[in-house]
Amino acid sequence: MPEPLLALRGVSKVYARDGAPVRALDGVDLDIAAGEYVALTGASGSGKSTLLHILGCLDRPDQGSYRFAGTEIASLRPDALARQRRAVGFVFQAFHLLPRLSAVDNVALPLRYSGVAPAVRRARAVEVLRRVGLGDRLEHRPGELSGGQQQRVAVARALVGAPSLLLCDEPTGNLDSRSGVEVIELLEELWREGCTLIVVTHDPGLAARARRRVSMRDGRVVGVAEQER
Amino acid sequence: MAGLRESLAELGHELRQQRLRALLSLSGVAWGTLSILLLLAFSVGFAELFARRQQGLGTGIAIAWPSRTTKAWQGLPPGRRIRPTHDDIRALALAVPGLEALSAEFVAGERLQVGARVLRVELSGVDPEFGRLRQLEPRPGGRFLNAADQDGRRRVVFLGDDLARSLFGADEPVGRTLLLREAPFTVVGVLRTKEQDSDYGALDEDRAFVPAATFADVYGTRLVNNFVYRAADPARQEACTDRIVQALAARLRFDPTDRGALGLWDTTEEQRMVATIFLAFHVVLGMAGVFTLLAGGVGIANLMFLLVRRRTSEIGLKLAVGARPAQVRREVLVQTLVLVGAGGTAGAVLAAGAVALARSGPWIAETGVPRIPTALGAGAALLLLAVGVLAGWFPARRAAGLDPAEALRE
Repeated sequence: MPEPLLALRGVSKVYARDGAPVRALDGVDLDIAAGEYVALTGASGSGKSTLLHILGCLDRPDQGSYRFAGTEIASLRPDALARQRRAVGFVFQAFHLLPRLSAVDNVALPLRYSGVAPAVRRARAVEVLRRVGLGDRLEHRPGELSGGQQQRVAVARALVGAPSLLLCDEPTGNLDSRSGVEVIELLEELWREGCTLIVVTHDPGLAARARRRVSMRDGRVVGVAEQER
Repeated sequence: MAGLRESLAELGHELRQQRLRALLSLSGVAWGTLSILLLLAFSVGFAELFARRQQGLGTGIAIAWPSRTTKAWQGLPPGRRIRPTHDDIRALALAVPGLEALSAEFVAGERLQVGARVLRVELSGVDPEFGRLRQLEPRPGGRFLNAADQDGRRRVVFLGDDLARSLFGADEPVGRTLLLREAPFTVVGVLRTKEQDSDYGALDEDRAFVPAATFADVYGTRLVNNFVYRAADPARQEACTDRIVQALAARLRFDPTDRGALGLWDTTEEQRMVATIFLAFHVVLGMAGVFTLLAGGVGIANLMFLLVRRRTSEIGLKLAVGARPAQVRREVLVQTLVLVGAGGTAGAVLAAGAVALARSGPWIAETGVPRIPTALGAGAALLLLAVGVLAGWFPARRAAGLDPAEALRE
């Protein structure tokens, strides 16, 4: 049986909050194969965002093992961890676009750190923005775009490095329902093209669209359900 | 570097948001640079003026004059006057290795006459080497006394520039004749104007010099008043003096260890002392400037800490999309260096302008001509680089050490 793209074994993460330790993840075991579409659900504070950060190499487990495409993440030094992040596309609820930059410069940002020449960066960013339907908004700044358009820019930024894994943290949380559907359809299109898609959400409707639903509570995985559509 | 242009655009954007603070921080560095360069430029100018005046007497020379013995020697009592002749002094050139130049000097107060003008001056009879030893450079068109003058016992004279003016007015003195003890002497050269802050008898600008052999003839004397010498290696001056005393002691019969038999003015000692004093002066002024610049650096470091704090979320995003901590660190460091460089350049331009203005002021006769030597410019640039690295290092380290997940939550 081939090794899963992502494999977590006994992963725990403890934070200090107001001096007291808070166990955000508690012995999580989870495998996610390449090309899967997974929804991570759970109440606020259940640990799903922490799990997403660990999956995206933004954070490292305090205990347990996390292997990404066969690489043990806990053993990576900061620079290697940064390089590993380039294989991941992140979409955040708050978009995290830089307000002073145009759409195309926001999208090109990740390429700045991978040694891509400026002209190539821009060409790729333009291509991806066209792909998400914003070919006519290249020079617009985030403040000049609607919420849905901003999230499309964020999706384009996640895609520009051609990642194998797309992680979305409440991607529709700040959008009206129409824009939300447009964004999730865009993400699913990318999944159908072969990208592994993991979405954190508390929207049951959105969670129901995934092929697998992982439920969390108090830092533990309390249920994994395969879903048919 | 990854995205230098973008990184500088980010800095420009942030500075526009923090105009006053940025201006104050840049002013701190500019002021520090200005302080270092101005203080040291004036200090260098003053030191050079002082050295020029000091060396007007001669660089690294010693002047010795016969005195009385202080020790008994071979049955002779102490307190005996020693009387070296021109031959005794000339013999030192062979007896003392390591001497670079040596000249005897006869001295007399004498009246010089040109037409109706009569002036009483200090007249020296010297060897040709005297000109080189005592910085007696001739004005164009003239020369100092030479070996042919000495050998031929020629009646020629070299005049101090002030004396020449007093005797000949605006006329060119070279080739003209003056009367010395009613004998005609031809002027062969006039001293080029020089700075001189010390003398024995009179400043060179007011003196007249004739060949030592001519002097001996005219005055019927063989006994020199003093002699001037310089060691080839300044560090061996003291040893040369010992050998001179020994050589003279052998010829004039006194104790070879009796240093008191000769009066001695070794200018290398005071030139060394003055050099040390000016070095300390440069260091103190330089340190004052360095501390001002460091204070400016602290201002820049504070500004960079503020910018890093304001951009925490942005830095978190950069880390999240794959920026290596080293790349983030380098960005902040380069931004700091650009800031420090801009402040330093402003300070350097102001300093260069102020120095250029000061160089043409009437005060330079007393303060010297301020200048920014290349080494000072290079030193200031290196110092700015060090201040930039120091000021940027800690904010850069903080930025690179941010936890991306935490930073994104800001």
